[in-house]
Amino acid sequence: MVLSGRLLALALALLLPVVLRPGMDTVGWCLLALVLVAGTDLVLAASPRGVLIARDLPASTRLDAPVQNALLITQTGGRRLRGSVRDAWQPSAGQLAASGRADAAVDLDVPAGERRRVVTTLVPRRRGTLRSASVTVRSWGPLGVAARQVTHPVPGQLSVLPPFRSRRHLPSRLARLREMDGRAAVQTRGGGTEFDSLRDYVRGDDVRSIDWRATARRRDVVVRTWRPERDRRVVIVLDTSRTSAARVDDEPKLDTGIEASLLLAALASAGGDRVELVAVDRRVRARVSSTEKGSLLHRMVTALAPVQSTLLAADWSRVPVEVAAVARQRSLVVLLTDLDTAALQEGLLPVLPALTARHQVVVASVADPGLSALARGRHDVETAFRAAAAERAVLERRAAARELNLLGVEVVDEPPHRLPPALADAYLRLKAAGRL
Amino acid sequence: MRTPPARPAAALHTAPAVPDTGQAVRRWWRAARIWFVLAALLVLVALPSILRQDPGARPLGTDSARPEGGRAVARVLDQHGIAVHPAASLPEALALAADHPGAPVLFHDPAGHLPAEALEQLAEAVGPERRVLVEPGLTVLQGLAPGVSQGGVVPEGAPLPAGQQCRWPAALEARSVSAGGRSYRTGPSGQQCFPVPGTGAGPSGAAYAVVTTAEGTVVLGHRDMVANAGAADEGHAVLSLWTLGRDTDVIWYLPSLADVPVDGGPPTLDRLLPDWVRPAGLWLVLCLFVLLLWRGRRHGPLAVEPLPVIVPASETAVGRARLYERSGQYAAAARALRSATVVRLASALRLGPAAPVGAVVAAASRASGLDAGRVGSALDVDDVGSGRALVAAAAALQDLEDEVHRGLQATGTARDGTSATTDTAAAAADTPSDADPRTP
Repeated sequence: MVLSGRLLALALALLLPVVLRPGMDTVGWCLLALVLVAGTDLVLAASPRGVLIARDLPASTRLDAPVQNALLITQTGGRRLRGSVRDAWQPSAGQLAASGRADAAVDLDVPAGERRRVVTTLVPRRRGTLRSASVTVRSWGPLGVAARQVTHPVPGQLSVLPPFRSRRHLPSRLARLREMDGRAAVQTRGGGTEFDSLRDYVRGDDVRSIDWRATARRRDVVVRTWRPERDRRVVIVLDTSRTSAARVDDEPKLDTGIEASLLLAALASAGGDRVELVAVDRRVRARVSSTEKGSLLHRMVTALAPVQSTLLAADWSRVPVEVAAVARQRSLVVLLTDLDTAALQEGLLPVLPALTARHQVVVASVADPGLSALARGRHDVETAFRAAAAERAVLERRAAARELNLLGVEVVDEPPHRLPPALADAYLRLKAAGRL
Repeated sequence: MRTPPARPAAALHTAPAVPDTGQAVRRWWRAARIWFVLAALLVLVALPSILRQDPGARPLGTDSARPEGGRAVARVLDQHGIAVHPAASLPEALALAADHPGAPVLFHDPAGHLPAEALEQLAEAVGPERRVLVEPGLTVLQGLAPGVSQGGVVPEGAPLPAGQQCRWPAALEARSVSAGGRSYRTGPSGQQCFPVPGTGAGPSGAAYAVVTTAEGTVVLGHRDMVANAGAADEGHAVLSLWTLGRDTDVIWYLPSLADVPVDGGPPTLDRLLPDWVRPAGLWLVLCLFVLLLWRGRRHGPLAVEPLPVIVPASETAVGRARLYERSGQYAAAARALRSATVVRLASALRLGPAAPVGAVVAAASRASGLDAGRVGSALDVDDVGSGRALVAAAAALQDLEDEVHRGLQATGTARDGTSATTDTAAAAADTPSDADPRTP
């Protein structure tokens, strides 16, 4: 049962007879009138129980991309249902009614035996699976004084995919890839080490790439073109352990890692390499391979959408096994993790030799710009201590990166917005140098 | 407008129109349990006041076994063949007094239930020689024991002896009473026993724990003289049995709420207000209830948000700073700052990653134009032992870095025109070593 402001107005109006004719009997009569009005309205209201509710909602959307959430409401009872309906989406689904009010109930008017479509907009603010457990229907009586309210358990769910904001870095990197490939009309020697073809010299070509023997055979000057190796394997290992839960610039390190791996995967698959992705902490959380059917990026975002950081330490001893399972020959293994010294010493360092022996390893980590901000404040004792601790942390990260370098590991340690392009550049550099 | 009944392509769930019984019961219980809780609270609040209505539990009640009850004395009287007639209201007491002429009437009214008019009625029906008053207030004294005045509260202390002036046999037999309750005074016509020490100095003379008037009314100043708790102390038993056991019957009158006049008393605020105020107030309370129901109703259950783990990344650094601070590690903090400065300077001055500190000092003093000794002292932080020294050392290191950068910029602009290309080449060559991690 729901009461409205109209009933309150009626009750206040009944104050007049109570004042004019004081006495407990007047109070009793007024109360009876109030109860009768509310009761009649309740009885006359259409039953919200006899309503069929169906959802019409896409299965997935990207983060921050609005999506229409429609409810199909069929009034099976014999009365016109006037009231409102509220879909109980969790707050981070960002439900907006047509009026633009957040999480407001939507007005509803369904004649007997008919069906209406109620639409709200969802603007998801969190990656993952968003849920709505129930839909609540409120049905007002003809006087609008009292309403009946019933909550129908109609579960709804929406998979919110990673936004892939680093997509904007993709065109420039693809252009670099084409340059390396020799496909773009730039006057540089093609990157890579694999001999591609001979072609006529055009002005501006690097004279070092002139193939003199071919030139001697023909009358024209001929140059060699080169291209990078193709069909290499890139294995991306995404660490979803507790170190990935830390937030840098209000974004979990895991989300930055997902962005970086999406950009790298898009670039590598465009470069003709095969991409394998494994998200792992103590067990494998997601696994995607470019050898399967369908768009790689789509499968990656779908697989990574529900992955959240766990509060467990990563089990790095699994990683060589997982890598060996997906890639037998020499591959580029990209570990998206944290350069946190303690976690590194205990977990990653012991297993790194097993990886570096067979593969080229890149460790990509999210650097914290907050540390350098901390290191700058030195005006009193507390901030001086903080600066010292921040400097110590930066030095330790550098030491850890140096230690990894000594093992032959490339280290990419950048703040969140720079990590995806930096990792893509590292890939291009390695590919151009023929180190894949 | 009627929506076409075509099924949409996306996932479609249909609500069951009627949920199964178990679910319905559970949901009903969820919705109704708040009312059960409210009802339970109401009962809990009302219970003590209901229990308090038990007449036997009142002070000096003949059935009350509590410390302030009167069961012990009533039983003893009963065993001696004296019938105890409890009365809880004035008509009862008047009827009993008429039935048993000559029986003493015990009167105890701590709450002042009985109004003055009723006291007058009681005084007419019960002769002064029959009255036994326990801890009477001013109104009761005026009505039932004229000539007796109040003497104040008796502080706890040593038992009070009967005193010199006392000629009342019962008091002489009792010898002493314990201190407590109230004290009274009467004129020389009556008997005054058990003087309260420290009251004799005033103009009205000493006050006494027990007094009797010339007409024979007995005033007992302390409830414990009759109550269960004190009946066996000092001479209380003698006093109470002597005064109450004079006849074959005793009337035990404890006024109750039934004696409170419904319409009597002085005009209250309630009577001065217009008569519509009460019903209107009641109605406004009801309006408030409607308002609460209107505003307090939610449109369906709360939506649950599974909250993510939030760990600020710099938390460990801040935590470590606090550890340094709590354990007073000034030198360690200063060394960390020094190491970071040396690494940054080496990188800015394009020295190798493993450059010794001496080389960095020399290069820094060249670049900044500062004296090498000053650079060295800024970098010498081993004797930092206090917060002030730490802040000073941190500022000195910062200043040194700023100076070196300023010096480098100045020389950079000076030779900008001549060797811009070599500068960029050097910078390009230096980039990898810039990125190189360095340990102090």
